[in-house]
Amino acid sequence: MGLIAHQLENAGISTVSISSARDITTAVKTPRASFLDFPLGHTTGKPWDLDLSYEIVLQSVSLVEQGSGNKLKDLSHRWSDSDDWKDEVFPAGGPRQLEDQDVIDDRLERWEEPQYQTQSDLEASFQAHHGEECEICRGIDF
Amino acid sequence: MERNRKPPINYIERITATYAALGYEPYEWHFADSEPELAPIRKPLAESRLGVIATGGIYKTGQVAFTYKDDVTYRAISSDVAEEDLRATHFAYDLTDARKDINVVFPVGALRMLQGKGIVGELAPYFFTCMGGIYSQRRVIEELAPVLVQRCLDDEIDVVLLIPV
Repeated sequence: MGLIAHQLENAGISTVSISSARDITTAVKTPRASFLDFPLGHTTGKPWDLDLSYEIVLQSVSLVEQGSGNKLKDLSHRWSDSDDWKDEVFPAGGPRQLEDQDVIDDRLERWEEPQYQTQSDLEASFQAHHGEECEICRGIDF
Repeated sequence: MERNRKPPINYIERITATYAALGYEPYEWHFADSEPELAPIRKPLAESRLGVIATGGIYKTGQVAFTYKDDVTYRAISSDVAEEDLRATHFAYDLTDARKDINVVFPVGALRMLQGKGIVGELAPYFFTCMGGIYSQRRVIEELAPVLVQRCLDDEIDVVLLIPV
């Protein structure tokens, strides 16, 4: 995402990123970003908490008016009173492994076919796009 | 010091170790060597058109979903989309909460509040979404990013909020 931000800035468009991974954002030198210390999959908050989501988005978007001095702003929100969730994410000692078993790979396979959330989405897409054969289906989706 | 406070996760270190243990091809982390150019804001935020690019594999029902292998396509989703028509599909993060409430990775509710309260001038006609987790930096730099930049220029977007997952 940092690579896209750089190209936008070079084209004269101001950007703000919301990061869940402080080290990656720092390495990429993302032009302007806020950091929210939440688990991946929660870049803009928690389910059914619109006020939280609004605060996160507002504080992030506001960075564009704060000049170039503040390139990475740490947001103060905490996921929970305890930070123990951080121990479970890509565990620091390497992936989980049971005795005498292969390493547990809990990521999904890299399927090359479109991965629909529901069967009805697949049917809706098929209907809308004539069986994925039209130009639009190659991703240029207006 | 608050009780039990731990520093931010070092994802690069942990993911590198996990991939190595799983026998995956190592992910090619991008380390920028120079400070980025910052585009000065063109006009006050309250008069700006705000665009969004999100990487969480978001699509609208009726669109073709993303694939899980180096998908460098994008989707344009009308900014007045109904929340219940939004879906999330991805191989690299836990989708449970995103599928309960899409606002955790694609904050349409908050974006409409920004517009409603006059914090931003208006929302762009379309939000753009893609996958992320693409192995080839070259393909992002040469295929995905320029197309998104051109769409943002065509839609006369002043400020883009980038939402990686």
